[in-house]
Amino acid sequence: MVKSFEEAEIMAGKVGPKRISVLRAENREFLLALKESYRRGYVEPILIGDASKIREIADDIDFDISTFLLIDEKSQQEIADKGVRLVSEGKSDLILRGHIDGHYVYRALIRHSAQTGTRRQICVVALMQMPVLPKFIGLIDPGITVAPDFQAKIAIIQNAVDLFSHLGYENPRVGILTAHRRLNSDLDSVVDAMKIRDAHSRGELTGCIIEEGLCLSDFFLGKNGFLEDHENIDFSLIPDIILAHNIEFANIFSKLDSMSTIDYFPRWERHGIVMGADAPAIIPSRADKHDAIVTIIALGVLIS
Amino acid sequence: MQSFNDILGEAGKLTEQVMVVPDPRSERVLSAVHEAQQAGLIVPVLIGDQWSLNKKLFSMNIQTDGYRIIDEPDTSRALAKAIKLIQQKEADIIFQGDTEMEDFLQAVTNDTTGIATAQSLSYVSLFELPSQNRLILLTDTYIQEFPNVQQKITILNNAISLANSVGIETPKVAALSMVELVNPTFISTLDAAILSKMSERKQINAIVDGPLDIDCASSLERATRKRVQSSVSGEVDIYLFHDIESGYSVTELTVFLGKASAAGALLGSDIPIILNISFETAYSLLVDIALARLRKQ
Repeated sequence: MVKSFEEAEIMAGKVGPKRISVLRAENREFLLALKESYRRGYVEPILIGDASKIREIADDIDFDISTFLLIDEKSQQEIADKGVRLVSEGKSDLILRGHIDGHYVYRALIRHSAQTGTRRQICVVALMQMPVLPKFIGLIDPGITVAPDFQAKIAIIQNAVDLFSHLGYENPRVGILTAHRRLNSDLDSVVDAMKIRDAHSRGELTGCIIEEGLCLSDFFLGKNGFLEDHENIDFSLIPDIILAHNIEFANIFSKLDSMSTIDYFPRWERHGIVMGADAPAIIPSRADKHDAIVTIIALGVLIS
Repeated sequence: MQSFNDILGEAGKLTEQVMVVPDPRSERVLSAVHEAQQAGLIVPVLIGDQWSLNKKLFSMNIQTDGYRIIDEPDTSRALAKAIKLIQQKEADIIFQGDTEMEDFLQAVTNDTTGIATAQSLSYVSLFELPSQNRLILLTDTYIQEFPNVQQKITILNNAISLANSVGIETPKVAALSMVELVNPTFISTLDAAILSKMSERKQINAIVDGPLDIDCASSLERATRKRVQSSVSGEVDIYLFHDIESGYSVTELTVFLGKASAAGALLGSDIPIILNISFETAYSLLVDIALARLRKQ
């Protein structure tokens, strides 16, 4: 069971190398990350983008790319489409969003799954690591599904469960997070939670455990508990996978540390992985430098 | 006021008021009441099973001179009596005690026998930011579930009045969404833009900007990196959430994952009403009592 990003970096070397389509590789941070990832045995890069720029930067950083497949393409959507197609042609195991805007990648993935008829719900799983928790958690879905109904939620959960099973979790615990307070209300999120639990007991959602609680107070304090003090909270009670009801909340949760990195949320680290397509797509954030990109490549290698 | 300590300090300077508590049973509730009484914030009136109450208070080493205890073992009758005391002006503040949230809210907002109107109510959760020496307010974190823009105006005005009472004269408000561009597909962005415009026209007594995502709202550096220009980045006093799924859960996340103390205030009623929220500790409840004292009537 991989519990931390550091463990992922160690394991990826044993599982790799995997073939990775790099969408628009002409960027120094990405090429530095690929150089290191190649060295560690994580990946065999397939570089797609402006070939001459790629060669120039690779040269500059002393990265010998001569044995890699290099596909010359300048149009961003074409790059994304080619990268995705390589997976269905069996030539690539993993997709890396390089120096290209995320929406080209999402569009390519959605279009491709529509064409091939594999209409599975694609979603972003944000793996989040923070010192207060004993292991990272997977949050769904801060990036793609805006207001998933319960069927879409089941598909999203299954995606996250698949991801966690690749990381060695046998029956990951899924927490459906809602704004359930101790009063009567007809929250859609709670109604969906009941439907998801029913579907799970009928075997429509497999390989996971659905937690009893509906909110963090339930998970940490029990259904009728009250917070006495912070020091006695058992953080191992946090579910492995957390389903947020809508994208507004998922988005805030995934970046909540910005509200207070010093006082409350120090050293959060997060990496986004798109699941549900033919191969996982790793999406570094725009601010990620080469070291963070290496971490996310390691995660991608384990999941593919 | 820059901290919970400041709030307690300021509230302590006021003359104490009478606070009625129906069915107080837990140590958590009773110790908050006791601390508030010791701090000179309130004179407690407890309504519950007198025998077990006295026993509990005795075991907690709490001297009950200065307390008024009314014997009523039945919880709903205790609640009704507490509200009656408020209506008869024998008490100034009501605290939920250990009564069930559903029962308590229904009783206080009852059409005929209540003391508040459900539609006017909203909840603000407060956190300290020690590194910045200031407080932040989050709303609506408990009451209104899917407010439309009209309801958000009420929620915002309630929060502004609380901000005023803790010394923030013209609060900066971030109307949160997941993107910073207005997109008619996402109502949260439309509402945020409307509220921003209203503040620009001085229809709201605050500086409101939105839509903003949490990154751009909280950090000037991140906003600059994303090329988002906002009058509130990095200096937000009030975070306005689009709905309860964000408001409530973000508050819980901050309490549990951030290990932060959340104080809170139920707003929109003439009489201060204090709720007993699961993720508030006895200390938080004490601060809530102080906040109830500071509220401008």
